[in-house]
Amino acid sequence: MRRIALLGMLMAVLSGASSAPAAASGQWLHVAVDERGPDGATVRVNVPVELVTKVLPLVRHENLTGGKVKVKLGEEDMSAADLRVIWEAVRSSRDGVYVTVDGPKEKVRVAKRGEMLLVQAQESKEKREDVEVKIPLAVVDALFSGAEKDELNLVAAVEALARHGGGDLVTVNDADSHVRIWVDSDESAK
Amino acid sequence: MSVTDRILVAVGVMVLVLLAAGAATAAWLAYGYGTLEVDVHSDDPGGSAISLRLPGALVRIAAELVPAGALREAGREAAAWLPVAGAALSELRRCPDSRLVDVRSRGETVRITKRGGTLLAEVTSANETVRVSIPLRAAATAIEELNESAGSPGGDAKE
Repeated sequence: MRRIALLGMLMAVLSGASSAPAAASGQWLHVAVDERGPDGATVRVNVPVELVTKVLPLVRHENLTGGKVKVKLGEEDMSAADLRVIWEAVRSSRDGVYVTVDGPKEKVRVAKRGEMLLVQAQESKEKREDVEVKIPLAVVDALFSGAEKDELNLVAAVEALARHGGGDLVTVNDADSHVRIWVDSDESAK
Repeated sequence: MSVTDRILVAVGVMVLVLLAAGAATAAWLAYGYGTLEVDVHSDDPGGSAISLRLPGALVRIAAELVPAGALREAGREAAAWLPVAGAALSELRRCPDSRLVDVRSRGETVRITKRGGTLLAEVTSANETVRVSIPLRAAATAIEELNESAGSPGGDAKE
């Protein structure tokens, strides 16, 4: 469930694309889902980053206002403020693996490498699900750049994403499907 | 040429000028606002085939004819999302032609494409094909009209 929440949040961040017009110009956010099997569905979504950056600040829905979202995660009510403190500690530390969860059903690894934050999750052999998330550090910095401590700045995050340029952001591989989310300058998913 | 002939020629010229002006206006409106198209084709027994072509300019005309109260109510109901839709349409008009959404599953496809100044939605299943083409300028005009109605305190002019 947490992974789904994380992916959902990430999608919100990614689809919240940047508000720096010059930087965002020409960049496209792509989502591709390929279900396995003869009846498997395929989904392709291609959205101009600039469109999302213009639209996102205007959306007012539940905790999302002005391109910023107030968050509380999990039953323990971990807030954005808590995340900010953790992030500041990680940001100022050298490269390495910061979180390793080696459970019977799931393995999770969070690492900082160069200018990227890497999250890898593997589920049990039965489910055969691998999740890999690569987020530029600048994007996470921007995410925590809001004035309020309990809010995440989605617009700033996508601005940073657009400035960072192309590349894979999320890949999910499991027994049933393959999901890929990435940014590049092509208007079609390739 | 007799007086009667002269009058007939003058009337003929006037009719020609009016027809030309009407055709030019219609062409300008069609070019400027595009054409709203809806096609529904069903292969089911007794299924229907519907094909509708409406000038996008009708949106503005229709907005003038709809009672202000109804328009204001619709505008208020959609008020929270009108700026979002307006911004999205504005950006869509600027972005290059592309396929925005493409979903293919067993026997069914859904495609949303931006082509020229038009947003084209196509849904195809085993028995039915639905195709809707919406001129972005006409859609933007509809949003503007709703926005103005939602914001206008009185709006009695059309009531």
